[in-house]
This record gives sequence, C-alpha cells and structure tokens, in this order.
Amino acid sequence: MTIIQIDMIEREGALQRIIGLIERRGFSIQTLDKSAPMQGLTTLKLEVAARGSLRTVDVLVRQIARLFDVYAVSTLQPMPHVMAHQTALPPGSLSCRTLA
Amino acid sequence: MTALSASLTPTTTSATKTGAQWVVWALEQRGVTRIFGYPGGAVMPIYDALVGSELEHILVRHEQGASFAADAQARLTKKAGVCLATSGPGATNLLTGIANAFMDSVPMVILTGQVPTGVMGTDAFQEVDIFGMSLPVVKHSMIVRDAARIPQTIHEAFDIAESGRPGPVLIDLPKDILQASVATYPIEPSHFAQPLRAPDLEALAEASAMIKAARRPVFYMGGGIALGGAVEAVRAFMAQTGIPSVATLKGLGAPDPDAPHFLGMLGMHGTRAANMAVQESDLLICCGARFDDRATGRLDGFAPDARVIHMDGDPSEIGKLRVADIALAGDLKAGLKGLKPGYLAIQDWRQTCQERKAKHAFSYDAPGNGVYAPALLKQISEAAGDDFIVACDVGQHQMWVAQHCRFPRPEAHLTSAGLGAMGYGLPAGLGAALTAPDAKVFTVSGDGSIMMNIQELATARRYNIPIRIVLLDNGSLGLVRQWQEYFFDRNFSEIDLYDNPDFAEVARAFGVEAFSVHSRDQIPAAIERLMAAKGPILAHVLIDPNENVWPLVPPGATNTQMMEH
Ligand SMILES: Cc1ncc(C[n+]2csc(CCOP(=O)(O)OP(=O)(O)O)c2C)c(N)n1
Repeated sequence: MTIIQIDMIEREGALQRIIGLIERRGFSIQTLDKSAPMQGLTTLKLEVAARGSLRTVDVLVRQIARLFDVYAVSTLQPMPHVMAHQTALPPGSLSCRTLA
Repeated sequence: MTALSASLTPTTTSATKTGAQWVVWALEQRGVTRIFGYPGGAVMPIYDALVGSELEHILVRHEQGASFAADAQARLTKKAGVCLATSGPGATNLLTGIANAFMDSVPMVILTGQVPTGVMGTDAFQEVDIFGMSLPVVKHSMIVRDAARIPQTIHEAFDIAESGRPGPVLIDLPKDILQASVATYPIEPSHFAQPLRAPDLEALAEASAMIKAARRPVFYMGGGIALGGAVEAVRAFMAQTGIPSVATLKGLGAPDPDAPHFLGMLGMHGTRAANMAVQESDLLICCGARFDDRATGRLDGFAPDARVIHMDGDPSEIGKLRVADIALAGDLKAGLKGLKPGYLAIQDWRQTCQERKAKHAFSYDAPGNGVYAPALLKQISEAAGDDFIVACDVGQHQMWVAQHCRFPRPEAHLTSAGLGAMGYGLPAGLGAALTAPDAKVFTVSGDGSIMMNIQELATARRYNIPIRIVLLDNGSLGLVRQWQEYFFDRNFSEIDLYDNPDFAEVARAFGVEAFSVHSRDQIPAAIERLMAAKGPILAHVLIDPNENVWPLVPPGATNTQMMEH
C-alpha cells in the first residue's frame, strides 16, 4: 500500500481522469480523500495497492504526472517528489509545494 | 482573485462572432488548412461557418475515415490533424481513430459536437458522454462551456497535442455554445506546451562508459525517434559507433535502410539476425521504444543478459516494463549527441551479427508463377524509391510490408502499430496522398481489412486523390488463419472469406480505376500502371491463400524460438 498525494487543478473531468488512470494502470484505490478546491487547486490523498507484481508505484506516479490536470504529485513515503506541469499555471502564480 | 483564476478572465476585446465562427477562425489562426469530417445536428453551426472559409473540408463517408485520414496527415506533417464529427454516433465512430492516435502518439485535435448544455446529462437525442468515453485514449480533453473561451481552448489543444509526447486532444462543443454570439479574448500564449528536457549529463557520461565497456551492444530503435525529430542523430550515432541495430515496427525508417549494421525489425515477426542479436546482447541501448510485447516476446526472457540504457522523451516509459540501468529521459537528439563512447572493440560481435544477417536474409525466389506477396511489396517500394509512402492495413500483409519494403524515412511507413486497427489503410492513404501530393502513396490492404472502410473509395473518387491501392487477396483473414493453423490445431473458425465481392468491380462501381493481377508475369506492367496513376487506382492481387508470415515467434515464447515455416 502506498499513499499518493496529488495537487489537482480543478477542471471538468479532472478527478475522473486521475481515478480512471490509476485503476486502468493496474492499481486499486483503497481510500480517497479530497479537499475542497482552494485557489483552483484540490488536494487528493489516495491509498493505492498494485493489482499485479509488474506494477510499480514509481511508474504510476510518472504516469499521473503526465496528466494536464495534475499540478504536482508525490508519494508520502519514501518516493521522490515529482513535479508535473509546472508550466500549466502562469509562472509565479503558485510555488510548488514539497509534499513529502 | 488568484493568479490562476485571474488568468482565465481577461476582458473581451474582439468583434462578435458565433462560437462556430470562432472555431473556424481559431483553426485558421493556427495555420490549419484542411480538416476531415462528417456533418450532423450538433455540429451544423460549424458546417454553416465552414461555407466561405479558407479551410478545406474533406467529406469522408464514415467518421472513422476522418480520424484515420487526419492521423496520417499528422504523421507526415508533425502538426495536429483535425477531424470533426457530430455528437452521439458521429463521436463514437471517431473513437477507434482516437485510440489509434493515442497508441501511436500522433498529434490530433478532435472536434465533436455535443447536445446543448441545458440538456447535457438528460439522455437527449444523440447525446453520449464522449468526453468520458474517450478519457483513457486521449492525451487531454475539454468541454467548452463558454463560447468566448473557444479560441484559447483550441490554441491550447494544439499545443498539448503537438508538444512533448504527441497525442490526441478532444474538444467537445455543445451546440448552444457554437450558436452563441460573443466577443472573445485575445489568445494568450498557453502554458501547456511541454519543452523537452535536456538529458542528464552525469547519466550520459555513465551511459557512454557502459557502451564502451560492452562486448555485445545492440541499439534498439522505436517510434519515439521520429516523434523526437531524432532521425539524423540516430543515423549519425549508428555510423559513428557501428553498433548492431534493430528497430520496432514503428522504428522502421529511422535507420538508413541500407546501413550495414542494421539487422531489421525485432520481435514476433522480426528477422533472425535482429532477434538473436538482442537475445545475445550484453547491453541494450533503447531509443524511443517501449518494450512492447510484440517486440519483446516473453518479457522475462527478453535480452536476458543485457543491461539497459533507456532513452525516451516520455519519462513515464522508463522502467514501465523493464528496469533501466541508466535512464535518459528527455530530448533524444541531445541524448544521442551526448553519447561519446569512443572507439568500440566489438569487431567480432559486428561480424557475428553480419554473418547472421547474410545467412538469414529473406529470399524471394518462391516457386511457381503465382504472385509472391513479399516480392511484390519489395519491388513496389524499390520502384517508388525515396518517394515511397505506404499506409497499411492490419494482418499478414502489414507484416510483409514491414519486413520487405524499403523505408527511406519513418514517415514512409504509416501503420496502425499500437492499436492494430484493421480499416486504417485506405483512409490513412487518402490523408497521406492529400498531404504529400508529389509522393508515391500506396495503400496495402487485405481482403478482410479493406471492407472495414471500403466506403472511402467514394472519398478517393470525389477528390480524385492519387492513392494506389494494392489489395492482397488471400480469400481469408490470413493472420488469424495462420494462428489457427499453428496455435489452435488447425481448427479453422470464421476466417474464410470465400464469398468476397469482385473487388475490381466494386472499385469501378465507385468510379475508381481498377484491375486484377493473377500471376507473376503481370507484375511489371501492374507496377508501371500503379506508378503512373494520377488519380485513385486499385490493383486487386490474388495471392496464395496458404502463404504465411515468417519468421514467427509463438505467443508466450522468447524471441530465440523463431518458427521459420
Ligand atoms: C478492427 C479489427 N478487428 C479485428 C482484428 C483482428 N485481426 C487482426 S489481423 C486480422 C485478419 C486481417 O485479414 P486481412 O485484412 O484479409 O489481411 P491478411 O492477414 O489476410 O493479410 C484480424 C481479423 C483487428 N486487428 N482489427
């Protein structure tokens, strides 16, 4: 079980897109915690479990980072922090928070 | 208001147009000159706005044709292809094409009409949630709910589709939004374009040392090379290092086809020389490839002794299926230029690979006077030379094209690789021939595949598109038949197409020139006639119904276990 924290940009379909990706890429979502949107960003915290031995959270995190609705993603322990689309926001509007 | 939301609400400054007129305007602004589509209720405002616009609209006869034609145009130009369809069935008919573009990383902007916002979610007539249905197969997607946002949204969609690892972007456009009259905002530079990362210098140095130390290195090339504009860099790397090289289905055309150390395609229908080199290698330098199962065979038996240097524009491909000893995410061109292994003492290894290449070269001297498809395809590609472009369908003929044609560049080979979608060949050929009118564009299809989008012969006729269709007719779903023959105890099931129509007659009924080829001695004249064609032409070629694709790695086997016949 791994905890993934995602700063999601509030856009139509964003939550569905992220959850769909996690399921489709071979992980089941055990718990899901979603904050209220704040300044256009929402924080998701998910506990995920791999469905097969081939699946690594490390790759999943990079696949999540690829999404345009994701501002930042990290695992809480002990994965390195991965920045997603820093450029998806106007430069300087928000600094990326280190979540680990 | 935060910077995030403030950026979304600048004041309007422009003249007033309808949403649909803004769509057309935004496409023109983006430099789009041609779109492929099919009208219907929800997109009627766009069709209204198209009249008198600068955009050339190609009317296909099935929306799937629009998506495949746009895909082919995009593969040739590296700019997003655009297709347009109405809501509901129009949109669902695009789905296969969207998935195809996603699997092969093709930049595409898909415009779908949608029912008016007021009735979205009520099961209105021709309402489907195309946004939801396409989520797993798009790079990104958006529903426009404010007509004033249309130009910016379209601009962003192109940036997303074309930058980074390209892919399809869908924009769902509700009818009331298309009909609203609005002023809009000036287009701002979007923050969506993804610049390519520079490769890590330390990793490059380590990789260079690893290559230097390797005794049996193999360079493994994929479709990412063409996507990353790295063809020249690849050819230079191959020439400088002389490392034996192999390519995936999508990597074909990246290496100079005449390069001495290029061993051909690897994988299920790869050459013996390529597969054996990979299996024996002690270092795989994977460049823009993704360890697809058709290339690797049984993954845990793939290149078992090799360490891996994995270079890819998309960081999420690295380590997905095979652990990389060295990861080089980012710009492939810069990565290749940064690899400086110096002199490589691998003469014996090169020679081993060369000998195998020579010993197991394809032979074309099949007995009899029937048409031997591999030889025909080889001759066609050689006749067309550097002007050759082929769009394939899916099946045995697709594999023969990959094995036997000569591809001077990656764009010469348009194939539905990741999705393997029968029906791709004809519409993709049309898209390619429209995009590259001076090239010699061929569609190679099978008697099964051609029927998936046969209606596009009408499109070929209407626009007099110079597409040369080579229909290899073996009277069956050949690739499925081959699998039933070898892996299902010859228990043939639903593969017999004995009652096919006369395809030459069918083509003529569409107004397309057509002729049949039955025997080997007719081939030179047939090729001449195809090459000289100025409009659409179809050669219906009867081939041996029992011919198979060789070599073949059985499913679940490792790539050393090649069946030769
Ligand atoms: C849309 C679609 N349906 C089914 C398949 C499965 N399939 C793969 S190859 C093939 C047979 C293709 O037959 P044909 O086009 O005649 O080519 P051949 O193998 O005979 O050269 C089939 C049915 C597919 N790839 N795509």
